[in-house]
Amino acid sequence: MKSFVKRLSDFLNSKRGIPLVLMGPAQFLIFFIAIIPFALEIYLSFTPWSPTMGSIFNSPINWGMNYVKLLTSDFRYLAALGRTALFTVIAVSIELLLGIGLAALIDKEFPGSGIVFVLLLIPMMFMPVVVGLDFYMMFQPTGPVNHVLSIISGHPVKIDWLTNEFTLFIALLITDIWHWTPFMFLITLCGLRAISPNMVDAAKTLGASEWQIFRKVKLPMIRNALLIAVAIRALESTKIYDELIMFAAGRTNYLYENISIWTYIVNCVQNQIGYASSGALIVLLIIAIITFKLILKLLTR
Amino acid sequence: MVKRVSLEKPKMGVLEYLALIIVLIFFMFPIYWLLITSFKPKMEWLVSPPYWFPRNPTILNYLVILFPIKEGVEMVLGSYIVFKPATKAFIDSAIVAGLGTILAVVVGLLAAFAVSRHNIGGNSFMGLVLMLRMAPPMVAIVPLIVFYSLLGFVDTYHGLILAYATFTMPYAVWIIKSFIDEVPRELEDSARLDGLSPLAAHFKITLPLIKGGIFATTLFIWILNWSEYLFALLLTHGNVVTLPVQITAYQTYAGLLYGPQAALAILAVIPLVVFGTTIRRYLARGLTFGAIRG
Repeated sequence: MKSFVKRLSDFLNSKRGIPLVLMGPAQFLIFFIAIIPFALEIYLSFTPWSPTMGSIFNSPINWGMNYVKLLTSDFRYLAALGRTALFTVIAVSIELLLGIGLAALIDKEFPGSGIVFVLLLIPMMFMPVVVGLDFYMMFQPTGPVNHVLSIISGHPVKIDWLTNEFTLFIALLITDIWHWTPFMFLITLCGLRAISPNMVDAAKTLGASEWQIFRKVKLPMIRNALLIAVAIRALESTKIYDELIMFAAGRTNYLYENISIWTYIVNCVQNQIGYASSGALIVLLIIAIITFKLILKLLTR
Repeated sequence: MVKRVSLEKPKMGVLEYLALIIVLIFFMFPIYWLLITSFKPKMEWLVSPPYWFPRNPTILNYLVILFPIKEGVEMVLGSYIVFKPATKAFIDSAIVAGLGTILAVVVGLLAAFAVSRHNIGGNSFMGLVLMLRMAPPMVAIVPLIVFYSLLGFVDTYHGLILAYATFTMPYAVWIIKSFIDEVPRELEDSARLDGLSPLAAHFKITLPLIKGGIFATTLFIWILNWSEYLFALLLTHGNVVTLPVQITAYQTYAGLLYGPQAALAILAVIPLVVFGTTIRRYLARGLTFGAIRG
């Protein structure tokens, strides 16, 4: 018995055993839940398959027709891509600026700064579904948002925020800003706190103003952290789905169709699995390029 | 004459205090609104102008969401509609998020040792793993639904647990690797001289030193899994019901159940805020895959 344990231990610690023990489980999970479905997705993307056509393995193959159609004549798809990109650019820019401003504010000394710091982190701990529900309630025509706008503007505001594309976009933007500005704030603050006080003191002694210190000393030093935060947030905001489902409140008309909603409709409502796979793979390709060319380098620098 | 400079951090001015108050109102109000809605009786859910404080606070919303007996539902909604108690959603969420998280952390821990200590996998593995996390879940789920139907994994606990573990494992690998990288290799080397095998050195020397980090990583990943909606929505049909799915389920009933939904949302969010606050020192590191050590 002892010799068996010894031999097992020897094997596990050998040149062949160590990769098996340490990397085996991860490889298995990735292969089983990601690689096989990924291969299936590539296959499906070359077919017009939908569940009514029977077994997926007997599906006719239409080679690249899905891709040609998606990229040349499916304006609904292209619009969804465009909307996703536009939302990402606007949301991430606003969140970045607000986050930097907030971090600069909280970095100062004032009573209760510890509590304020913790309070400002709470929004990003909320689950997206709850954030969606919360803002759905607040953006109702009789909700607090319209009421506050009425008080400020002096005459009654009755915007039905969630029933047309433009105001829904604004509502989604505000929701995302509420949810994720704390992330930008946290990363910026971590960067600011990592700066050696000697640098700031030196600049002060040389007579730099507070704004000059922030702009010329601190900002360049947290540039890398900000790049990471922006890159991660940009990719995360392409995933927005839960909030839009909550905003639709059971309706099947989502009004603001980003790439996740497009895929959901084509895949789960229209059941065009093959076509949805092609659309999804194009997105995956774009994300893969960004991940490998940009994010991987930023994270391992 | 030498100009005297104060070397302390700058103090707040009046304008800055004002900005801070506006910021706090913006970020705290939605939480406050959710909280008071959960205590409002039905007639106050949509009154115009809205009540800033519940006039007749009630805890019925909470009771009815957990124990939807006929009398309770009639008291809250004025009429009776059947809805499932949320207790099953709490239990299912605890099972799926709990086991999914443990699996992700264990598998991620082993892989992190392989990358950090044995140079197995290297950058291409780390990139592949990162890709798992960066891909929109909607993109990943299209073939997963087909694959799961072929296997009979749809609407099962193990199916959802495996999916959750796979798609949160990237965080585990990246974050735990950043903790392992901080422990000097020499500690393990000297233990090896005392006769420990490589694996034993990992688990007996390095592991105890990164306990705190692994604990934080576990809570961090648990937060993600507890909040996950898309996979749960599309991979289950009633046998397994997680909390986010349960919260949205009330959207389809006659009208919206603002009060009970808000009550369930509050109950679902409390553990997130408690755990999130516990690991606040590690949040930056978690969200940036270990790149920024807060």
